[in-house]
This record gives sequence, structure tokens and C-alpha cells, in this order.
Amino acid sequence: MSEATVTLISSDKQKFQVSKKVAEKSVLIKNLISDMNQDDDDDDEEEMNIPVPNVRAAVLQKVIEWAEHHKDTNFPDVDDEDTRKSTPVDEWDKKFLEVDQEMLYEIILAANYMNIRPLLDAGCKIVAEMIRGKSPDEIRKIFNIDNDFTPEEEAAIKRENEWAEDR
Amino acid sequence: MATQLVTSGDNIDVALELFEKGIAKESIGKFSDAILLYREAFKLNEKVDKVYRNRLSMQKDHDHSNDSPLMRNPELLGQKLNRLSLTDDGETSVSQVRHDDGEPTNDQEGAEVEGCPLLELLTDDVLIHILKYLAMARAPDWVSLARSNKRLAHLGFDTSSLWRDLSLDIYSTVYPSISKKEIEFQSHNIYKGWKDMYFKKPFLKFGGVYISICTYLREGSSAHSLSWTNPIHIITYYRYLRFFKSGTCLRLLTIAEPHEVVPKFTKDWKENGLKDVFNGFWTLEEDGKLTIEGEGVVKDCQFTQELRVSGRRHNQLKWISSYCINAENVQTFFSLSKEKWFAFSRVKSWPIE
Amino acid sequence: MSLPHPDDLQETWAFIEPSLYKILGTDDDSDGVTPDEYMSSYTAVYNYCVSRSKGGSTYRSSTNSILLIGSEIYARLKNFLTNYVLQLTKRPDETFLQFYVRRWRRYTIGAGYLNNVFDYMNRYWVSKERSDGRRDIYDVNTLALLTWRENMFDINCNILVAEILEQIRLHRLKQQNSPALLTHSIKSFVMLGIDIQDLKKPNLGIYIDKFEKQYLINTIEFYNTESNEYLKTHNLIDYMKRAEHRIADETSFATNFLDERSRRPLLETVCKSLIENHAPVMYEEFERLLQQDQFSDINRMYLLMQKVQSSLDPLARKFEGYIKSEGLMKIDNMDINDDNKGDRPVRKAPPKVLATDQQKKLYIKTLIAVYTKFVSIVEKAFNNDLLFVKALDNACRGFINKNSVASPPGYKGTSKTPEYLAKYTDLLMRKNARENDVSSDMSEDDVMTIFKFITDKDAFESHYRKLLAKRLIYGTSMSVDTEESIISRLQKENSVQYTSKMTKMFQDMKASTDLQAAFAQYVENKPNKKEILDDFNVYVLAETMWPFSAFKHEFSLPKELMPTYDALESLYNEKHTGRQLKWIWNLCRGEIKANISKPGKPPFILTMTLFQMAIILRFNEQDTYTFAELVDILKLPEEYVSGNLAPLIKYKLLNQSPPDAAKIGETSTKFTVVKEYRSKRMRVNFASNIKIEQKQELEETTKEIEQGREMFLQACIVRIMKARKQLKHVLLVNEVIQQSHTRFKAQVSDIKKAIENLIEREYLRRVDSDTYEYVA
Repeated sequence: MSEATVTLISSDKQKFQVSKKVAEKSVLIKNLISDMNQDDDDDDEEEMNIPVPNVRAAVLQKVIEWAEHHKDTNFPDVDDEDTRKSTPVDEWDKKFLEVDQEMLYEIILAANYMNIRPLLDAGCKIVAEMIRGKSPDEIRKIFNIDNDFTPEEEAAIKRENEWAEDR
Repeated sequence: MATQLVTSGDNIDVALELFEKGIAKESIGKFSDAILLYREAFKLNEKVDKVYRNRLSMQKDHDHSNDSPLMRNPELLGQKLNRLSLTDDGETSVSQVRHDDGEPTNDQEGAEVEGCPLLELLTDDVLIHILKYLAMARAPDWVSLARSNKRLAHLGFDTSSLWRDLSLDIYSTVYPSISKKEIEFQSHNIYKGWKDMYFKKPFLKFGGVYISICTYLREGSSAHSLSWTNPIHIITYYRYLRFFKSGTCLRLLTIAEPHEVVPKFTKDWKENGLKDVFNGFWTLEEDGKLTIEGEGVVKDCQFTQELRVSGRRHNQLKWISSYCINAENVQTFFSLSKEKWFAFSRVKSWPIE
Repeated sequence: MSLPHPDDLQETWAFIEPSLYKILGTDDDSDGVTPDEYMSSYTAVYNYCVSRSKGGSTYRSSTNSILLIGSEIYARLKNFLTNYVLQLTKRPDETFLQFYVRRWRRYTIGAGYLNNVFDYMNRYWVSKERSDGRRDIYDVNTLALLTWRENMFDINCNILVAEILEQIRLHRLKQQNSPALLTHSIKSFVMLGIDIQDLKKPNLGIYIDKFEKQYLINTIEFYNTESNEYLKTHNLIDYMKRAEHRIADETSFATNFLDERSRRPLLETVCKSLIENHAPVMYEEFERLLQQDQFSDINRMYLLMQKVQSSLDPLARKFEGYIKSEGLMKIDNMDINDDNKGDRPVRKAPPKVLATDQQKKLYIKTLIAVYTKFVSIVEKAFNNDLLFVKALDNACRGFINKNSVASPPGYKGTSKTPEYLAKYTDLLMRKNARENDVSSDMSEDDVMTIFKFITDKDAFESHYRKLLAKRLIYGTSMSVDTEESIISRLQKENSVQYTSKMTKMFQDMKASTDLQAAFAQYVENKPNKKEILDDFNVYVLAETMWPFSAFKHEFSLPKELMPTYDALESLYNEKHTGRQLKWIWNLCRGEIKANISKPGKPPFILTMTLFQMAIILRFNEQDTYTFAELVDILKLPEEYVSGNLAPLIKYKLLNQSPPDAAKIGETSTKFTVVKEYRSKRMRVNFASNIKIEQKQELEETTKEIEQGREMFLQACIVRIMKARKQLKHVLLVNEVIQQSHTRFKAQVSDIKKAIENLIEREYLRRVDSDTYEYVA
């Protein structure tokens, strides 16, 4: 008994055959498949080729790897903010996302583009981890951010919003 | 369009080779390695990137979306290389990199290679996602990140949905009887939006202690002393209040100072060695009036304190009244003449449960 | 294909527009969208939306540029949708409805796809705008629906509704054959009822306003017409069957085509049209159906009317009225001759008072028969509906207590039914030695059935207790078990208090048995025991519990019985010093052995009252006495003597001279005992039917009942006033009526009398014109 599969095509024309179940971790793909199937009454045996224009092969491969690993995981509801916020990053995900920053960002962007919420969350949490306890200056260094405030502006922003830290 | 043949000698080929390897490294995510290779390539030939690009552009139908981020953004590459040269300490050798067999390197610490350009690579909505997560989970980090730059400040402090998430979370905790719909209605109709609401509508803080410091003067020696100078003692005592999301709170009056008290001021205060901590229940009204009811210094009496959330950004509690009611329903008010208002003080190590 | 420049709105839009057409559905609908086109469109939108939000470390502080990104493409989309909807045209070969449904179905599917293709814009920009408080920006699906509503629906609403109603009309005439048209078009009303305040909440506003209202009006008209027409040419039974069908049709229509919410209003409307409007016709037929026992048709009518509560009540009342008149008629026509059971109406006017046991039994039986008949109708035709059970109960309560026998014209006392029921029960409880067991067709259940409906329960208690007392004393009960069984049922039905006296009576009987044993023992040791009667059954009765009173007149006990009398008196005084025995001579009976048979035959055993024995014993000494002499000997009042003599004469033990019955009480009339007595049987009973007793008894019982009520009312009033301290007249009267309800129906005049009495006795005091106060 073989599972139905689809072929995802990266921006650099590489093909990846994945089972439907795995591909549907991406809500974008899931919607496409279901929308396409409404039109066709003929067999869904026919392999669907789905281009993924904004994701290049290296990144797409990582994304697929993640989806394969999590193909049976039950993620909490998209609207369940509390759980989302409080659960720590899954150990496997943590290791999985130990890549260069740029790759990490590309994965995050791909997850956002393809609408894979759990992966997006994991990625964002990893980025958040990098910021833990750092001052604005240190953050600028880590992320190569230019300080475009004047000292007055910077002080004003700090003054106005800093209190919101206190919870 | 014109092919400029760069006459720079033999090293152009080596340089190109290194350059291409750099690209290869980049494409598998090993950016730091890629940078090192680029650096070497540039060292050999300054124009190596131009040459490479010319070659590429000669191939028509080149889809730029395939390009690696660094390739797509020449500015970026330049910046990186600049920074690299500034911090070059020559330790990492190219040969090491060349013979690498494909393990991604961990770039988290940054080391002498500076971090990745967050802002260039990520979209606004992803940044907002990160900021939202931080705002809920680790607020100080949220503020720090948002303060780093104008764009991040705008995203971190002006995104209404971020304040919405915060507001819904805190107000539904602090005012359990109000529905989320009602809160939303208030945000648009009574306040000028979610951020405005968060700044103006009072709430309680759970990630720290409210401390009130009172001092009073007391005569030192006995009343009939004949000496010229009578010592006067300045007594300082502290009131501590800690609130929990479940609706309970802790109260303490002591002369012990915050640094001694605060670490122990948890639900396990007894085990921690504190004495005379009283339990209570708090309720908050929408105008900021806070009522605490519970046990107190006299058994079988119900002690009530009424305070008002006020001050800059809800970090003060000002006294309204304090009284107790005994078993016979007799009410006794306590004088507030010596009391001072409470100020909130965050305790970073406490999780906001 | 290569993607457009993300910065360029024009280019982006030009790129995606063809795909959008395909997604929404082109006129010929030839091409579907390929995955490639789908993804490209999605990506183009995504790229456009993020284009200015990344890259570069300089940040444009003007927020407008961010805002514009989403809003421009949104505006274009909105425009696109509007134009799309506007350019939809009907084909010449289709009706408007067909066109609408065809397009609607395709459009809604397309809108769903569009929503997904623009998912990124939805997630990012639309939700941001809405979070900022903008209520005029919507997710793409909602936007599409709103566009349809503004540009297609609102404009064409009237035609649409008209065509839908036409289809429904055809459906009702069984001529409609494309249900999909109805399903989808009606559904569109529901889906278009978007509440812009709360997009997630389903909203039936448009459905109700624009469709349902009209639909209901249309339905009323249709069914009013149809039902009127139908009734012109068909009878009621057929009409009801048709109505059933129609209701079932509409119910399934509602389930299959309409929104849940319309079910109830629709059925109400249809039922009003079909049932409520024609209720009068049905009520008319109803009586005929009852007369002809057409239970299934009655049931049918009931089931129909059940759907309209306001129509069902009158039916129940009619039913009640019918039962009542049936009951009264059956009693009126009751034939007291044995051969006619009363089914056929008889011209004779019924007697005012039922004399014989048989008649009384017939009366009760007739009542039961009516009840039984209608109980079964309630079950068969009305499915034991509580409303009709209640109607039955009310009707029964009516005719059972008040009818031409129970309260004949001119009669002012309490209903006679309790009295007759008590007699009925008496017949049931008595031993039956004879062949024709008079109680074989009677049962306890019968008794309880009627008992429940009696309003004057205290009257029944009095009568019943009197008869019970006789049975106990004369030993004519069938068995103690059957007696106790009835009593416990009465107790359950009413209260413990109700049967308390009866219970006490049983206790007295038992105590008397013990006393009898003690007496036998006592006599054993007496020297004159030979003079004392064997087989002497004495019954000591508590004065208040038993319906007897001590014999008020003088009486000279025959000397033969004196020893027994003395012995008992002394035994009793020994046992219970201080108590006094009051003898009820008039109830005493005995058996006398009479040696006046034919020679060779055994002596007769004559059962007589004590007074009769006192008379007869004297004939041992003398053959003839005058009336005056007898009176002198017995020391009894004259009517007692004559009353007791009468059976002796009647059954030919004594001869009277002169024999004229009217002269029985004359002082000089002589009575002589016969030498030889003739009778077919060995045992002769002279004791029953002493007329004087009967008349007195009835009077006594009636009086007892009245007195009992007076006392009860007074006690009741005192109890109420003690609790309330002060009460207005009207309220007091109501309270009293309520509290006496289980015993009898209190009359306001009696209550007033009781109040007056209490005021006189200073239990109460008048405060102002209509208030009383309790005097402690």
C-alpha cells in the first residue's frame, strides 16, 4: 500500500517527491491540493507537480526533512497562544536548526511562506534564544543592525516603552 | 553587457575557483566558511566578484531568485567583507575550510565573524512574530530588541496586534468576569487602540513585588530622661505584596529589607524561613481599585486592604483604606497616616505563572 | 514563467489577473488553474506584500509606505471582484434562478480558492488592519461574498425570491424536478448574512428578512387556498388525511432545503392554515365521531390538533362536556328493573331514592361503565394525553357527584353517591352463602375508581363506617383481609387520618375477642355459671369511633339474661375501674331455640333482636299478651315494641288480633304465640329490616356528617387564624376551601356560619369590615 505522493519543485528546479501527508504540513500545499482536487474528478493517482518558487533546493530539503520527522506529530491549534508561547523548543528541532544564521532565516522565511506554523515558531524561538538577556547594543552586534536613532530619540523610545517589561 | 576581460594575471583563476567554492559553501548554508573563501578570493584578486558576475550574466535566463542571499545583495557581501577585514586575525585557514566535509558550523556565538543581517533577510511579519513571542515570554528581551533600531522599534512598539495579544492576555487574567469581546470593544471605543489601552487601563503585575517603604520617628530614651538630647530613632519598615494569577496574594510587614525578603517571598515562604506572611485574595475593578481580603495579624478576623493602581504605567498602589472585621461583625479601621504607597519592583528570576 | 518584480504593483497585478479569472471561473470554464499558476499567483502576492519590508538597514519612518502595500492590492482585488460579478450575464436559455445558482456555486468555490491564494495578504495585512480597528477590511472570502451581495444579490433580490417561491409552489404541486436550484439558492441567503461586527458568527439576518418572511406569507396563502378548496369537495376525514400528508411534506421540505431555524415558524404557519383555521369544522364532527366510536379518526384529529395548542384545549373541553352529558344521560335512563341494564333509553322517570341493594349496585355499576368506556377512549384515541385525562376526571367528578339520582330535583342535601357507594362496598364485603353471588361482578377497583371522584368524601366515610360497624358486629364480613385491603387503599388515596376511626374499630374488635376469652375464663370459676350464656359475644366499642350511640331509652333486660349481664359488668369493672359500659340494646341480637316444630322435627333456631327475644321469652309463661302489657314488661317506648313485633307477626310466629297492621300499636291488641311453627328452613331470621332503625340510621348519619363538617370548618378556621393572626375574609374563605378539599366541598355559607360561631365564642374578632383577628 503506497501512500499518495506529490512532487515539490524548488526554485532551482530540483524535484522532491514527498508523501501527501508530509507535504500537507504546509498549509499552503494542503490548501492547494484540496482546491485542485475539487476540480478534478479523475484519479488522484496522478502525480501532482507543485512548484515552490520562493524556496531554493537546499532550504526546501531542510523543510521537507523537518516535515518528514514530524509527520505524525500533533501540533496544538494555531489559535492556542498560551501553549505556543510556553512550550520550549523541541530537542530534535533545536539540533535540526543548528545551522548558520542565514540558513536559519531562510528556513524561517520558507516556513512563513509555506505556512508551516510549528516550524516558524521553532525558528523564531531559536532566534529569540540568541537575544536572551542581551542589551540593545549587543543585539545590534549579533544581528548586524545599524543604530539609526539619535541619542535623544533612543532615550525617548526607551523611556516611553521600557516600563512594559514589568509584568 | 560588454565583457570586460580583467587583466589581472593567473591568480584570477585561482581566485574564481575560491570564489565558486565560496558560493558552493554558501548554498549549503555554511556562510562563515563561504565568507572565508570569498575573503581569500578577494585577496588574490579584487575584481573576482565582478568577473564572476559577468560570466553569469552572459548566461541568459539566469533566474536571480536562485542566488544565494549574499550573491543577490552585493552591498551585503561588501559589508561583510569589510567587517571581516577589520577583525581579521588570520586564524582560520582556508585550507581547513577547503577540506571540510560538509558539517554545518555553528555560528551562534559570532566570534570574529559578525552575525547575520537580521533585518535584511527577514520580513516584517516574521520579525513581528519574533517580537510577539518575546513580548509574551520574555518581555525585557522584547524591549531590548525593539530598541535596537527604528524599524524594529516601529514593529515592536507600534504593531497593534502585539499590544492586542498582551492586552487580551493580561486583562482577561486580571478581570476574569469580562469577556474578550468586551475588552476588544473597549480598545476601539473607549481607548484609542490596543496600545493606548495597555498604557491606560490598570492591571496588576505578577512578575515581581510591590514594596512600600515607611519610616517614622520614635523617641529613644524614656520619657522622663533629664538629658539635654534625646535620641530619636528612625524606624524603617517594609510592606511587601505579591500577586498571583490564580487570584491569591501574599502580604508581609517586616523590618527586613528587600534583598533579604524578596528571594524568599514565594508560596514556600515558610520553608524559606519567612514569618508572618498572610494569604489573601485579590480582586481588581476596572477603575483600578484593588481589594485584598484575607487573614491577618489577629485570628478569626477578616482583614481587608483597599488600594488603587496608579502611577506611571500602573506600577504604583496607593492606599484607600485598611480595616478588619471580627467574628461579631465589628469593623475596625486602621490609620493610614504613616503608610506610603507601593512601588512595583520586578524580579527577573521569577517566572510569571 | 518568471515572476513579476515585487515592487511593481502594476506588473504584479497584470501577472496574477488571468489566473484570478480562471480561479473564479470563466464563462466557458474550460481551463482549471494549474498548480503552477496557483503557486505563482500566491508567490506574486507574497512577494509584493513583503517587498518593502525587508532589505536595507535604513528604515523609512513613514508608516504610509507599509500601509499602502496591502491596501493597494486589496483595492485592486476589490475592484476586480466587483467587475467580475457585474459582468456575469444570464444565458438566453436559462431562467434567472438557473443562472444565479450556476454562477453562485462556481463563485463560492472560486472565492475559497482565491482566499487561499491571497492567504498571505489575509494573514499579514488584513488581520493587522482589523486589529487596528478597521472594520471595512475583510479576508478575501468574506470580501468576495460581500461583493456578490452588493452587486448581484441586493439588486436582484426580488426576482430571485420570486423565482424561488415559484419553484416551491411547483414543488408543492409535485412538479418540481431540480432540487439543487432550491438548495443552493436558499443557502446563499444564509451565507450572505455576514455580520461585519463579528465575521465568525453565522448570521441569519438576510435569510430571515429577505427570504423567510416572504416564504411564510406565501405558505399561508397557498395552504389557506388549498385547504378551503379541498374541504368544498371532500369530507373531513379525507381532509385530515390530506392535512397529515401536507404537514409531513412540509416537514421534510424544511429539513432538506431550509435553514434549521425555519422549521418551527414554518410548521406553525402550516398548522395554523390547515388546522387552526378549520378547527370549528373539526369540533362539529368530533361529537359524531365519538358517538360512532370511530377511534382511529378521533386519534387522527387529536394528532393534528395537538400541533396547535390553542386548538387542542377546546377539543378537550368538548370531550369533557360530552362525557358529562353521556354520564348524566346514562343515569337518567338507568332502568331499575332487573332485566334492563339501562342501555336503551327508557321513558320512565327515575325514582328519587334507590330502595333496593340491587338498584344501588346498578347505579354504581352504571357510573363505572361510563368511566371505563371513556378511559379506554382516552387511551385509544388520545394516547393518554394528560389534557384529556384531566377532561375525563373533571367530567366524572361532575356527573358522579351530581346527577338525577345523586341529587334529584328538589333535594338539597349532600350528594347521595357516597351513600350508594358505601352500600356497594358493603355488598362486596359481605359473606355470600347463596348461589347467586351478588358480588361476583364487583371489585375493589370499582370502588376505588368511583371513590376518587367523590367530592364529599367525609360523607362516604360516615356511611361506610356505619356499614362496616354492622358487618363487624354481626360478623357478616367476607374476611378481615378484604376489609383491611379496602381500608388501606382508602388510606393511600386520601390520608391516614381519613381511616383512623375505622382502624380503631378493628382494634376494638380485637380487644373484644380478648375480653370474650377472659369472660369465658371468668365464668368458669363462677358458682352460677350454668345460668350464664355460653357463646356470649360481647363487643366493647369506643364511643367516638363507632357510629352507634348508647340506647337512650329505658329497657328492662329479661331476667334470663341478667346473670350474664351481671357477670360481664363485674368482670369489666374489675379490669377497667372507672369506665362505664353503656349498653346498645338496640343492636343486640341472639339466637333462640324454639321447640315449636312438628313432632319429630328438630327445634327451630330463631335469630332475633334483643327486644324481640325479650318479647318472645315472656311467651314461655303466657300464650297471649296485650300490647300494653308488653310495653309494661319491656319498659321500651311504644314504637320500639311495635317495630319489633312487626317481623314476628309477618313471619307468623305471633298472631295479632285484630290482624289489621294499622292497629299493631294499640294498647288492646292481642298477640298470641303459635303452637306449631311452619317454615321451610330450620333457621329463621326475624332481625333484619327493622324499619324504625333504618330511618333513624339515615337521619343519624346525615346529622353526623353535618356536625362533622361544622366542627371541621371551625377547627380549620382556628388553625388558620392562629398562624396568620390577621386575615381578610376572602383570603380566609379561600384557605378553608383549599384545606377542606380532600374531605368535602365546603360551601361559603357554611364557612360564614362557622366564622360567626367562632366570633360568638370569642375565638375571633372582627377588625374592620372585612378582616378578622385571632383572639389568643
